[in-house]
Amino acid sequence: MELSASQLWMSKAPGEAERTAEIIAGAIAGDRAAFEEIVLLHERRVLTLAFRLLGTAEDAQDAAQEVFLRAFKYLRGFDSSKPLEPWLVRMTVNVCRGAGRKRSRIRELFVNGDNLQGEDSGKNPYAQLRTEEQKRFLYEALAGLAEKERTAIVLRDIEGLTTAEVAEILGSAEATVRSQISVARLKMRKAIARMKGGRDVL
Amino acid sequence: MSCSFEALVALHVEGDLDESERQRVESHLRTCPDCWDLAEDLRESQAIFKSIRQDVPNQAMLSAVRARVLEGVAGMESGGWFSRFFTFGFRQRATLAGVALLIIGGGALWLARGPEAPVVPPPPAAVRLQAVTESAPPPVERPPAVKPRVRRQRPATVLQNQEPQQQMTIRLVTDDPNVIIYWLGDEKGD
Repeated sequence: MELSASQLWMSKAPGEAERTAEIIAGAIAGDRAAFEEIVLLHERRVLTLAFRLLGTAEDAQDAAQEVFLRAFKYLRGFDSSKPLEPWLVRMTVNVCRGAGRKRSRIRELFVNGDNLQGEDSGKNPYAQLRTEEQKRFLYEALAGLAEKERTAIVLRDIEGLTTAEVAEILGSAEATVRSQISVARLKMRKAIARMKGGRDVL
Repeated sequence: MSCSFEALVALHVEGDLDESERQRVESHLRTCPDCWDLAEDLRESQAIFKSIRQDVPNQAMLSAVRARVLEGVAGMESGGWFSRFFTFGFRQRATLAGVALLIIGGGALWLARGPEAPVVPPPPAAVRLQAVTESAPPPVERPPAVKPRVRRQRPATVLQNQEPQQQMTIRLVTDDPNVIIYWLGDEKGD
């Protein structure tokens, strides 16, 4: 059976669940090294998601910090038999949605592509420039979406969660989320068509 | 183009439809060239959009966040109520700030409340009554007598604290609006 991205994300290697429970128990007991291990394991995902949702490195770092501090605070109430990452992803979405940022600021700073590095950086400089330009355009188009559309499409198409999982995280009906995803994809398609040369898609 | 299937086509390209919807959209795609083109465009744009999956935060960003988190955790563990306040979430901080504002605002209003206007004792009731009856039409019928209600005017609290021997006024209100009886005395009731 083929696993979806989210199933893979939540799946555990043999012994990993026990190890995670051990780390969480250690962190709850006050073991600073155990909590640091939690941060090390999940910081990349939390920060990347925050960047995609907020659009600026500064806001993303603030949000990631807030997520981990909340995690530290509420870790006692966490059921360690469950995977930690979905919990952190949910918390990241909530923190980012409550960040109260301004759209104009997002538009301005999304285009600063220095903060995320593509895996192919360091290859042909012309190809890299083209990739950077495309990336800049994509982030700009993403910033142009309404907050709920952006959150829904990032979680579904970039983070690879199922529509049901996205609905659960956003606390919305699945039908609502499907509609947001659909609208967001159509808007992104128009933006990408403009990027490719102004072909009329109306 | 504008076709009622657009929204469904956008879901179809990523397999977000259930079986019956999928079949309905696929049969529509066979008959609608616009939607067919739309589906092709969407597949392409989705592939380009998903290229940002490759982006990962650089190491400097990760290290900076980690350092700030560990510093914050250390502060939460060792700090008192002050540092805990700053590690609260936004809602808790907003609630606390709101309560503090209410308390401060209420206190300021209470302190700013000036002393009530001094009560000028009216002339004796009999005199007033006489003066009124001269100009007013004769009463049609006096309503049945009811036990007069006694309203005790409380002096301003601030003044009460400062001048314990302050004068006290008792006003007797009768059913006749033209008749008001005042008693003046000190706090002891003399």
